[in-house]
Amino acid sequence: MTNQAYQIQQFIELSGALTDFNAYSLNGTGQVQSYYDTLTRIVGCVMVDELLSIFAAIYEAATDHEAFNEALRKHIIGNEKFGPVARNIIKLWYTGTWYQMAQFWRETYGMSDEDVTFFVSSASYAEGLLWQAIDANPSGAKGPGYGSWSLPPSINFDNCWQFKPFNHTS
Amino acid sequence: MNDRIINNIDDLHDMLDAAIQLEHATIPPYLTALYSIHPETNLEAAAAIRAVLVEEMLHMTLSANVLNALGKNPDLTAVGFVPDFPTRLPDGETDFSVSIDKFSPDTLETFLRIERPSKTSKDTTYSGPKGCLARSNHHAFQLRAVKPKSAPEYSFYSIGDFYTAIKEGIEYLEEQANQRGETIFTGDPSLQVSNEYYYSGGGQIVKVTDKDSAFRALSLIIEQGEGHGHEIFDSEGEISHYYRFEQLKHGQFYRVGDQPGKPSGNKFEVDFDKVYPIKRNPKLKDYPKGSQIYAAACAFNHNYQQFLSTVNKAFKGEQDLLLGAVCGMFRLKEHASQLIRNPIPSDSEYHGGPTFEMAYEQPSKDKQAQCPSEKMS
Repeated sequence: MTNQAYQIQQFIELSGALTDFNAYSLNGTGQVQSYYDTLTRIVGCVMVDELLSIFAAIYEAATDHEAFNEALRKHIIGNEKFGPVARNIIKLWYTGTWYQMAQFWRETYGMSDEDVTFFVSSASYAEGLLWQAIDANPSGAKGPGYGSWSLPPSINFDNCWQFKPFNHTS
Repeated sequence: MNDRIINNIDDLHDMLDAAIQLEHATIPPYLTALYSIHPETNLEAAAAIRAVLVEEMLHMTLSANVLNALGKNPDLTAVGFVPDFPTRLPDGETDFSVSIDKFSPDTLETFLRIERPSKTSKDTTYSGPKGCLARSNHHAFQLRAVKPKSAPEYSFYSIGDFYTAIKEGIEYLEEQANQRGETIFTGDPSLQVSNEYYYSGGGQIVKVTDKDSAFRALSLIIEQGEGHGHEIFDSEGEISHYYRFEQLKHGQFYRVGDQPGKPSGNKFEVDFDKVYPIKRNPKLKDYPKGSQIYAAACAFNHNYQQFLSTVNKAFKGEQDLLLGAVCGMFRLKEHASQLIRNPIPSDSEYHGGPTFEMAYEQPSKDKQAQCPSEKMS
């Protein structure tokens, strides 16, 4: 596996843990590569490497889902440097939008000229996980068919992300 | 000697049933190629495939209207209605294979062969039924439209000959009936699917009640496919399927007045690299059991079969169901796209795709164990 392929695989797993949508759902949006590219372009390769390394270490050390969540909160979500990035990854997946990082973060960790609020693409808008989460179509896209609004939404958790204890022999 | 293909109403019913199967059989390959295209790329190619795809749905509905008008209901749930891909189609002396595959130069060639203006059999030296010939690989054809019921040892020279036989059959049988003061159009008019239930789907639906309207419906099927008199544009200025696809080879649109092979309209790019690498003619057994892709492919097949069953009921008088079926269709589209965008876990090269394997056999315990219980999600 090339380094980038490995990084992308880690990015998918991190995204899964943050959004609670599994790799199948995330790949299914067709947005993995463009979100990975967006993230590295704006916060830089070094920070993405660091974030993914911390994530891998947490994953490997955790014995169960609860311990994993605890470590994720402590070392990523609650971290001053990585927390805002992680929250941006969540918003990116749910809305297809990159939100400009908070001013304190920009002043401390870097101000990319590209760090402005924008839709990654028109496809990313339509592929936002929020629509899947509420089983609705994105307004103005993916027309669901005449009369579909009369049917109740079908919401299930078949594609939620699952922690699988790391197999140290593989 | 050229025997008539259709000699009684049963023959005609059977041929129209076969027409519905044939029109549907193009949908899985078109749909898969369409959704294999990366989002926001190949816009012209995607638009061309989509336009043809929805017209095939219209053709299926038009064929169903003709069959209903003749007093027989279609059966989209019949064993083998969805063929096992790859499937073969005749093309004159030769034939070709139709696969579920990604959008590629090969796939485009196949699409062109599907839609190519038919060289109908003018040769009367063949013995046997009109428009037919005996083929050495006869057994390789599974679509019912290829082999006439009254002469199953023969196959049609082309799909054009198949539709010619249907029109001649209607002409002949209706004339016979008229002489007795009767008509073959004895179907319940309330079973006709109308524009009320069928919308934005590639053209006007035709309600069929007599020979004229039946011919209008069949002519629309033939013209949209291969063009009127093999012209690029039809009388309403719509480009035929064949030339719609041919534009993709040239990377240029046809304009009215252009000669075949020499489009002069706007140019566009076709990028065959911006496509997900679907495994050709994927089967469930290609996906690791227990994987998400396996479960999703099972669910897709199950939902597709349910969708066909709903459309079948709609063709039998419950037209209201068609509105809900359209919503189901959009969900199927999302599910097909998801499959196609996912790599096969055990495979470093290929992505998944819908397999369109229908569960026709009585569900044995083995079969049930293969797929987890699905729900329409």
